[in-house]
Amino acid sequence: MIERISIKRFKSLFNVEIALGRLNVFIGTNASGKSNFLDALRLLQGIGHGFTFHEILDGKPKGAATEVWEGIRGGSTKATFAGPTPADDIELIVDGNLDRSGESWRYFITFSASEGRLRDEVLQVSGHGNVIFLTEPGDNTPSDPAFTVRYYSGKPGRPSPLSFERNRPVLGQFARGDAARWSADHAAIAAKIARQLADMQRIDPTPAELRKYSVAHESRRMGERGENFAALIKTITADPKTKEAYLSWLRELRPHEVDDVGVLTGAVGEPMFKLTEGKIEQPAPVLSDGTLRFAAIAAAFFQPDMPQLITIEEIENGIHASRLRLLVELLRSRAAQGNTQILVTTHSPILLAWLTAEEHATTFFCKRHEEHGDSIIKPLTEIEHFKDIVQRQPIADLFAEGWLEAAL
Amino acid sequence: MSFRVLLIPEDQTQNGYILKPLVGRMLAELGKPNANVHMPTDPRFTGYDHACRAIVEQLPARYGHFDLWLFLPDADRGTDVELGALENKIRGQGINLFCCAADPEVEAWALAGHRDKIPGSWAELKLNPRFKEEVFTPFLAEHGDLRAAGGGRERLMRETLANYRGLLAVCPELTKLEQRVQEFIG
Repeated sequence: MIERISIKRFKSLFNVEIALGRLNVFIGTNASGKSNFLDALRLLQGIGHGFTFHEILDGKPKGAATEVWEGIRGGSTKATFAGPTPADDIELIVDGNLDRSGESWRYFITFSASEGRLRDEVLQVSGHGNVIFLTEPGDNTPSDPAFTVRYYSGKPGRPSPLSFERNRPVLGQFARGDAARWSADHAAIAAKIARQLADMQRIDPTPAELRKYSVAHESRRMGERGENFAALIKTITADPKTKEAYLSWLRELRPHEVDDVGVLTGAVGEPMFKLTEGKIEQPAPVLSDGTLRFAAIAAAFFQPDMPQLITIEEIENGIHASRLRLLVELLRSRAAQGNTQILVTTHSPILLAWLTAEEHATTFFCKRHEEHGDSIIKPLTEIEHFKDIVQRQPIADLFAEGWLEAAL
Repeated sequence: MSFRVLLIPEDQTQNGYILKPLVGRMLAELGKPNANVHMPTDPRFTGYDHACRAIVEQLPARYGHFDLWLFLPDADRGTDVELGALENKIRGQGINLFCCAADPEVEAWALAGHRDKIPGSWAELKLNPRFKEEVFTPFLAEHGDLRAAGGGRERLMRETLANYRGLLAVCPELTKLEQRVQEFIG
């Protein structure tokens, strides 16, 4: 789980640091920085994959063993903060822990977005001598083609220098291992951290995609826009207990009793999503956009191959206001029980109203600084007077009326 | 125009999974299978006292035209005298409110169809003042599915309602409520 993240000079995030929980909700007006924060997570995902900086920012075509990687919106030319104090280097500091072992780690990286070159990188892991590698002043000049870090093997003496490619993060290169130069144990822990960063899933299901037959016959994870949704449903419904749990959410959504969920099968076995209501089959093409979107979002939380982190932008899209309670309960329930961290953005005051006081600590309000134009991101509980006023005034009204924006 | 019923729980988030299917089934048994059972979501009730206040102060303006209101709290808070007074008070505004306190708590209605899986006599279990914490929650942890809606309450209630008459037989307060609703419908 990612516990804390600090972002400097990336897009509108000039200097943002927040502590994350299992369920995190981001609110704020358009262009306040919510999506830029999610893009920063995508930067980390690219780092976890071991891509070059230019690939992370500008995209990477499909390779023999890799899928297409869409770059960050705006690419490398628009990646750095463009306010009154423009900069070229982006800095990220992430504190996390490995769920199974409980080991905590800190990862620090600074790189030039325009040049696609590394400037500084540190990996610290508790229980592994703390520092695994770091950059020492004087080891690298801006023109050096390679990048040197100091490796802390745990043995006495000065840490040995290790050279890596400079156009991509050291983390992934170190994780690949080199028994002659650093320990396999340290490479393995770096690989775990890289996998944790890479294992993020953005969910933005489009009804058009959800109505299609899936290409795959079964799937353990859905695509970003809902690719292979029906194949995932086929996998989910193969286990009666999981099917029943998934179906229980759909029953709460629809005004009519949902008797069953499953798939129709095409000519060559390809699946298409369907619901059965009162013994009448309702295949995906006749279901409403909102039903399909909710079904896909719910299915994302029943994927056999759950990611470490799920992000969903404008989660309320297409879902009726009276069903947003259900959506919040779904998120809360899955955040509490699974190992997946959830980050969503919303513009819905109603959704906000269903959050508990405890959840306000990981509900973040985003706004642009009036003078400098950079994004400010703060948990609601740290906004002055919020805790008192929310006792007396509905939070939905405070949000819709603009009180939060004025208070921050 | 369908028969409109306002369902008022103490807590919409968890009790709703139990109460909405129960009331829908009761009305279907009484010849109103297409009744519109609506559980208000604004305000979000934070307990018995809040729900009582909302019944008097907030809900009449929005739901005063509904045919019937049902308030179904836990018996540990709502005494017959208190609930009777609430019914009388709201009747003055032309609202038909029936209250029915679950003995001992709403969760007992969901568990009533699963008595064979719970050790001990049902009568003794219902005497437990911490029924929710000491009877229902452990049962849900063992037999429910935390991944499901309401942590499994929806399924438990659906299974209990498969024997609706059996539920009423062990929860006499529901029998009484059904009789009142039947007389009201006429």
